[in-house]
Amino acid sequence: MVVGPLPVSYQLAIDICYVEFALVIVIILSASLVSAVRRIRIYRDNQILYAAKAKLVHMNDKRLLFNPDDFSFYWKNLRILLLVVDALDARAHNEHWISIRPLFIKSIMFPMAVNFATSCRWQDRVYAVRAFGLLRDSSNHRYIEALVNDRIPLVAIYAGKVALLNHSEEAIHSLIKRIGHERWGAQLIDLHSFNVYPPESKPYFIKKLQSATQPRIRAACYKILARYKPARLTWDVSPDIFSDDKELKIAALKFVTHEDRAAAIPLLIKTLSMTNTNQVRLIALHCLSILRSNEAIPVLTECLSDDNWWIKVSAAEALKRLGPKGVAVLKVHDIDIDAVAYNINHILNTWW
Amino acid sequence: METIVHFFNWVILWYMIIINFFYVVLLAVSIPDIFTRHDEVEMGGMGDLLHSDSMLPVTILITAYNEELTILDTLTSIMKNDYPNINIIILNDGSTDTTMEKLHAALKLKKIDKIIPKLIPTYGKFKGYYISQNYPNITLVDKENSKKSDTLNVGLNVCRTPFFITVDADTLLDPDAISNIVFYTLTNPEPAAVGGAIYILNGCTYKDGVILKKRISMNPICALQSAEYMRGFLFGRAGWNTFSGALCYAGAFTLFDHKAVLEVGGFDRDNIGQDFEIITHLQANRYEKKRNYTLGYTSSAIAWTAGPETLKEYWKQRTGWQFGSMRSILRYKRMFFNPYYGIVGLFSYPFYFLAEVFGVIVEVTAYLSIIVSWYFGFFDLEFAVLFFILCYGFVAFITMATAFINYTTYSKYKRFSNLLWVFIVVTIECFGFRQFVAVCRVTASLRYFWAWLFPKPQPS
Repeated sequence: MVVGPLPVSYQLAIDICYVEFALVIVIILSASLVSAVRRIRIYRDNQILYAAKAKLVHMNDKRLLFNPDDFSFYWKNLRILLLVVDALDARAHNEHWISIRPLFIKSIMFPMAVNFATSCRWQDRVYAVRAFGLLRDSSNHRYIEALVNDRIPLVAIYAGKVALLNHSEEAIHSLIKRIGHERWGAQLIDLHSFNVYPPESKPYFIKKLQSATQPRIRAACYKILARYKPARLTWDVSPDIFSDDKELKIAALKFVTHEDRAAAIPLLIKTLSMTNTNQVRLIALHCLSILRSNEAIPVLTECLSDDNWWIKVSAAEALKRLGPKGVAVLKVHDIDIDAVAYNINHILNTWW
Repeated sequence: METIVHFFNWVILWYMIIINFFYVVLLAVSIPDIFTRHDEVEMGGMGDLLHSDSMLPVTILITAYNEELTILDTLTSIMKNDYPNINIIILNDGSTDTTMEKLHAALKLKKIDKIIPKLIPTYGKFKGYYISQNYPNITLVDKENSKKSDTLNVGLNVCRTPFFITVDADTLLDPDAISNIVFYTLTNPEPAAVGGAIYILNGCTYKDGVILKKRISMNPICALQSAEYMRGFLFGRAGWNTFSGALCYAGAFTLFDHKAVLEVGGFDRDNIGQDFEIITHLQANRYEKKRNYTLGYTSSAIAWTAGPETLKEYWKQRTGWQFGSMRSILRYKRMFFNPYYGIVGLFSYPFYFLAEVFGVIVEVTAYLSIIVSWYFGFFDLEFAVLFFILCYGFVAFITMATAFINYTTYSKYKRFSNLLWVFIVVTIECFGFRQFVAVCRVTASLRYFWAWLFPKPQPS
């Protein structure tokens, strides 16, 4: 056993060891401090929420006029005020709150929102855009337009909704342009948020579609319009369906299938006959299988002889979905195609 | 001989000091991340958005092999999540127990014809595709047994949503787990993968997929795993999240971008540690193909998974993990200190390589050094004590710190006695259990190198 004065390297190692342990203790203490500060902040925020809400409720119940100077500076926390306004809006409406609400939002919340709109924290930008959404005000349009192009999807989603609520044309056009340039997941996140957009916003996208020339923008408009409730088609979609741009073709096909069944069927049939791109043909077949029209039987029968296996299978599926008439076609056709429609497992066994 | 041993001692000591320094840095940067994730949904008031129909659908892929005891609880916990748009695909990997029977009874499954495109080649033979007549958003794919990664690739071929989440069949999710993990995708542009936090289910009381009481198990093996998971998920991954430099997320609960995973060819079929491999692959792909996506982690998306309760099961699990880690890390050795791979190449990959995967070899070398020194009569007590403090004492200290942070933030273990129990087990961990784990992992490493040097012919 070697026992004696410690070598220099060991002494240094021990010193560093002390430092590392000390650092961990400092980190634990810092974490405790931060945790304590957070708890105090939450308590303080709850107090502010209670006080601000009580003030406005009192003002509302007593039919008092709102004076911005009476509103304590201490209560000016945008996040909390959003909760207060939500709570008061959820209460039984009366005319007095409806009359003081705009003044409250404009004088107290909007100045804070304008500051937050350019904050480096995404949370602040979300609060700002939500505040802008409380009241229609054209002076905020330029902030909303900037927030529509925010890199954080959450901010952009809120901004898109507010742009539509505020009828801000420039912001809506920015929104369409952004969606047009996004790909896959990012685009789907934005498109899906249109599920809850107000129906009266649809005309904006129709108007943009009529003026836009870029295929991506037109495709984005079709994708957005397909999220609204279908109505009768009032313009000719065929130039887009037979354009050179694949994305535009597909978006237009899906849109017309969703929007107007009577108009869609001849266009889909024509697409199958005239287009060489397999991806577009597959979409057309898929749309025809949704629409289930006997008018498509001839073109579907023709597709059963296609060289591409997926086209054959999709055509067989579409015929199968037509019911007895479509199945009858399959029965007289090549036995292998019948096998596809009747027993997919057979194909799977050979495919796998 | 004495000189050689002293030299080794010196190298090992400084290795430990440098690694511990990185742990301190990770701990320091993990704390702001933990606090940020903890309350960003609540404080932001975005709960209404997350629970509305405007959220896009995600697919949950559940791989199941002989999970008759837990599959229904897992399914229930997912269905009880507050996220509105969920599609569930159960991937039955050739179970030989009553897993399929239980699922048939619970879901009223109906077999249908469906063609599944082969976006990723798979080799497990497909047996059937089922839809649930009770729950329209649940489907089941039945196939012959192949490895978990191959089964996940089948799920990739079936998945039709831009994001999917992998969940193990013995995992229960917190009610807001899916919302929180999806929320990360809304606040961080273009994530290719988002990891969630995993806690140990052993010791907790649960019923119908809902955890009623969250406790740390009195079984020391499970308690040590609870501590280890807290350390790994509350400080390790949270720390690396600041640099987007993590190389491993838990396969038990991770969200992936469908297209990003397809681009890298899916999960590695021959790797038992497919969760480690896929994240490393995505990181490598990010730089090689100049992709803008990020890899993130959120400690607020929480899942609970069962851990092994006996030493034998623990040995088997850790052997598999070490095997998978070795294969994953060595496959991308081109990233080692390579500035082309940015912060991942310069920091995270070397750290994972030297500390997480090969650190155990250093540890065992230190034991051997002590034994050799003792045998030849020049035992260095100072080195032994210093090594003990740096290797075990420091890690125990870090674990206590993360347990304390958990107590003050997510507070998953509300009782102070749980915290105390963690403190006790991490202290006694150093006397026997750590050594057991080290031997287990070194054995696995040696077996890996042996298999690499003398590979067995693989069936086609």
